[in-house]
Amino acid sequence: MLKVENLHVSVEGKEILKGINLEIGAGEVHAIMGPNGSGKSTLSYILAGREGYNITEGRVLFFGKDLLEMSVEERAWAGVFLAFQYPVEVPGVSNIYLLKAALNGMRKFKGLDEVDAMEFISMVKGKMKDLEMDEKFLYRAVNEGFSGGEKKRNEILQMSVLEPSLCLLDETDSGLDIDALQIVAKGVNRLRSPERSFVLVTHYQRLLDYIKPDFVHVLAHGKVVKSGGPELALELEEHGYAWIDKKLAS
Amino acid sequence: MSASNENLKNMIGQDYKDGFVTDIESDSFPPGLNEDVIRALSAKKEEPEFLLEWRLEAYRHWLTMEHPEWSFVEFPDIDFQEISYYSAPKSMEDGPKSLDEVDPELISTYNKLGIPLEEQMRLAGVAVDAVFDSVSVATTFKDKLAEAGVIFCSFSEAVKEHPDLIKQYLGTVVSQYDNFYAALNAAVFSDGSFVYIPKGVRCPMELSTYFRINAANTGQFERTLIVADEGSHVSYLEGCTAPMRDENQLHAAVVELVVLKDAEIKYSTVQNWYPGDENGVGGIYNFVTKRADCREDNAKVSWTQVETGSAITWKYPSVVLTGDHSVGEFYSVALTNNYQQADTGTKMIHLGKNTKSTIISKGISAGKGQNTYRGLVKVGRQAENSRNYTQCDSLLLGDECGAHTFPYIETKHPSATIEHEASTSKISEDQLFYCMQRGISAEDAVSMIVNGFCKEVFKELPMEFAVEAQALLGISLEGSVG
Amino acid sequence: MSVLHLPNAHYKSLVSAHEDVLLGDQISWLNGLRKKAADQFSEIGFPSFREEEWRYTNVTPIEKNKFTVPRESGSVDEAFINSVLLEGCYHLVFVDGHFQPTYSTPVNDLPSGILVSALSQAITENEALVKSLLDSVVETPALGFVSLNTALFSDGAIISIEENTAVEKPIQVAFISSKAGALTLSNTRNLIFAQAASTAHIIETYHGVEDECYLTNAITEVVVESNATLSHDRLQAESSKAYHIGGVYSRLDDKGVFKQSNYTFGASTSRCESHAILGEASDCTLNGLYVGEDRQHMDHHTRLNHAQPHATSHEYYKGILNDRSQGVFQGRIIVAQDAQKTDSKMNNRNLLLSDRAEVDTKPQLEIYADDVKCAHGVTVGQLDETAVFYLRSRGADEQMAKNMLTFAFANEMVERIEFKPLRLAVLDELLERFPQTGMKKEWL
Repeated sequence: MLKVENLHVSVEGKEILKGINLEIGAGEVHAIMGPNGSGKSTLSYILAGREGYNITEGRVLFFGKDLLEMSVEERAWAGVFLAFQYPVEVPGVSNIYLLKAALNGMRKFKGLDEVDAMEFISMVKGKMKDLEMDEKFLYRAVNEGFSGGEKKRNEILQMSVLEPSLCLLDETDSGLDIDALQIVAKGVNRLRSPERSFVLVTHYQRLLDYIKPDFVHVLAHGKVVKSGGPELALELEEHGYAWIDKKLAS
Repeated sequence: MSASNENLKNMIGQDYKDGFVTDIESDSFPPGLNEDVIRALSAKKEEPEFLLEWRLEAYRHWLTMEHPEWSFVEFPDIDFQEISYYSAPKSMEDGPKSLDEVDPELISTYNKLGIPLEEQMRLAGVAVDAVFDSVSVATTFKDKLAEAGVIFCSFSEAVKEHPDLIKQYLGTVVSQYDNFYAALNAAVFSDGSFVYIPKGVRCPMELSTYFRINAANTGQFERTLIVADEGSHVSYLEGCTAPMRDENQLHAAVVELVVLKDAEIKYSTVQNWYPGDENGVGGIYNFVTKRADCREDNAKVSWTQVETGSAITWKYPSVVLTGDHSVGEFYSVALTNNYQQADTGTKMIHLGKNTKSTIISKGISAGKGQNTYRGLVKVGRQAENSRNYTQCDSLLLGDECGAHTFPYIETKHPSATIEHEASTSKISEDQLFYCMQRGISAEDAVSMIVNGFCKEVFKELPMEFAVEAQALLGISLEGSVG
Repeated sequence: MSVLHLPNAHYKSLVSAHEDVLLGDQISWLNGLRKKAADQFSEIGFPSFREEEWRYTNVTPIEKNKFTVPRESGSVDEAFINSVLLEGCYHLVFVDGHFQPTYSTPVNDLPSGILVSALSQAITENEALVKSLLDSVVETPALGFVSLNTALFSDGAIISIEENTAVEKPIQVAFISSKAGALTLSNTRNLIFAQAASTAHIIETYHGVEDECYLTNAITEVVVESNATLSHDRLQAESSKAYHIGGVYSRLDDKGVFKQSNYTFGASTSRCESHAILGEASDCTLNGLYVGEDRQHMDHHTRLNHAQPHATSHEYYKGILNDRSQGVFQGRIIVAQDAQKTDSKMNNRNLLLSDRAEVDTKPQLEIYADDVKCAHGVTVGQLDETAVFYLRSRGADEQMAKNMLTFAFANEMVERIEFKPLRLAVLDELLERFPQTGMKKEWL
């Protein structure tokens, strides 16, 4: 589904990613772990199409198409979804307004008619129930005044309404207490399917207790320095990131 | 009033250290202004006909103008017939001499002000043009600058030696009709400095003009013109002082900066005219028009000013951003104490595309001082993607002073990004207590906090000036807070 | 500097010719007040754009139009009146500056403890109250439009809330210009008196029934006594060819709370003053939203006069200017020497949507006390890039994302309106101007 080949990225002349290779198949869950400043978040922003990054080398294929050539919204329509580490507050835009605009944008792209208003509301309300979100959130401005947990749940709600093929979760566990983490993880697990893939970007192993990855990659100094199965995350948890550096050195 | 305010009041007793009078015989015009006075002035300076005509045009226009009333300063009507429009040391009668021939009394005056003009004592790396009342008495390092092709001389000399440059650029940034005091200046200006930096030259040293008013009942009307040709760079400093006198004296200067493609002028001022005494008697009226024209692409002008002197300061160093990608900056510290009044700020006129301006203004009010920031940011119809950031902070020391902020923001392009922030605060009891608990005296604490408040501006000043500015601020606030 | 701009013969005769037909013409103190104002107007006339306070707004078209004062109201379609009346309110309705009892809430339907009446009635029934309030708060009597109003006002609302009384429903005062009101000048004067510890919400709305050119010159004087809480909203939805000059002048006594909001959508040229004098420990909020299109000119001037210590004030004005419209904002915060511990913040944000639009903004601080916290901020500029990216990453195309955020920029002010019928009325105005956002009322 997604193929990242030798990706080099710099910001203001400083190289942040130094040749990333990654291949993600349909239905797979990949975890990308790494210390602060390793370039984890940069990778997810690049895939979603944020400006301000200079891609100096390499390419990214999404269902065989050049992802880097596509605009932000085209990537969204093609099925890339980024759950933000810090979901943006948008005062004056209600949640339901955003959801509907987003869904209709996607349907328009696929040549479908706009969604029926009644069906839409009941569909969204159902999904909110699953995420234990109060319906009143629908009419509140996007993320404005939300707690950390509410913001992350809201991201998962958007994900479940838009039904993307590739879900990028950027530090979704940060700022969550254990209850909120379980709710979010449940929401993600419900979305798992043979057609949908996940990339979990995280600093800690604990998210992986709830969302079981198929593959774990360790990102350090702008490169994938180690890949393995779920056991790699446990090793990291035990020894810390310094262990990776030591292993690399030896 | 809190205890700290009481202490603050006692401590803000300032001592004007440059207030002495030089005892020197002067050749002065009798007070009064008419066309004959202007003709006499022009004749004395042996000016070409075009300049006399230019002066007379300015004068005739000035007669039709009303005195501007919009500022936030108050002063009695000025009787322009009471002022003498020319005063020069007798010893200077025969025009500029070589430095060795300058009256020792003048040399010693500048020595006392910390501006040595003698060869052996000259400030390293700084060339000085010393203006005493209406004339330039000396310009140092002229030869060394000439090697680099830089022209740095008194305005009078430039009129004689480089009339074409004067003709080409004089009045092209501030016309002789621009405003009431600019028109007056155009009619009667007596001297000033002229700088021309040729193409591609980075001026090898800092240039500096030191203005001194000495004679009584005299107005100082100097004119500075700096032209930075393509790709050139210059840093220019000016300083000002005057004796303590009971009557007010007028200083109405004009500064024009012309900046061509890829050139940069950095213009710094430490203004310490006599501010008047603690009862508001005497002091200089400092009514100045300063403007820069970033005439071509990528031109840059940076104004930095530290205004601690003058009874009234009324000026707005401005930048017209004509060229695409041109940049204007304004960094200002203005301090008013006792009965001082300041109405100062800047104008940033964005005309070219991708132009950028920054305004940082720090106003400090103490005693019964009134301190006003007034600024205009204007974005024209063609000024695509222009940006401005403005920050105006006021610090109040004592409860009898005033701090006022009057920005004007006029935008005619949707792609403009303008941010303006202003705040007013005082030195908090907590800050003082904290410093004092750590063993810092109240005076040092205030000085520290005030210097911290001004830091963003001081860092823009050339090294020697930054030190002087900090010291001045210290003196002006001497004895403040507890 | 005062620049006199004398009124022409037409307006001079206007202020002298109407003395004997105006409301309360039998009452000598009122006649005296009007005479004084008429003389003052003849002396100072309309403001000139050479005056500092009027440098961005030119009112000479008003003068050229030679508006006349209507002796009576024209007729207005009942359906139109009903469409502008908000649900769940007490109502007072005026057409062309004249009271319409048919559409107004009868006295018997009003709760006890409040007076909601037309000045034309109160002048006989409550003369002393009218006398004590009229011309008692206006801060700038030297302004020509104020003098003109005092000299000529035909009617208006008087609302007085007794001590310790809380009025549950908002009181809407609606001013409508009829077709017959074309080329006329309506001068209305409202007097609002929130007595100690009372609570009330008053909504003024201004509408034009046809696309006609007329002039509204409306002044409201407000007294908020100790511990009283008063909300005041003002919706200006005049005809697009009209002129609207308005002013809300308020005085807050100690611990009084006043929240004044302006929503400006209509008129070809409008100017609205909102001035408050703040007593000790009082709290004043001034909010505003202006949305201009075509060649509309919208000017808002606010003045927060902190005269006493410990008062707080907040000010937030937002503007969106499209087409060739021009927005003007001038906000002044004045802190007197005695007004220590003042806490005052002012914010003005603007978006320009077209390269022919213009905004001129002048936030001002004038401070004479040292122990104060005062700040102002202004922005003119572009939409938040992070928010644009966020919306695009959810599949809104770039134009849609920008439309949504532009709407949201204004909607942020609308969301602050707690009273739903008013919120929906303001939203209607907004949606009319941003149909492309696909926004639906029921989503709010």
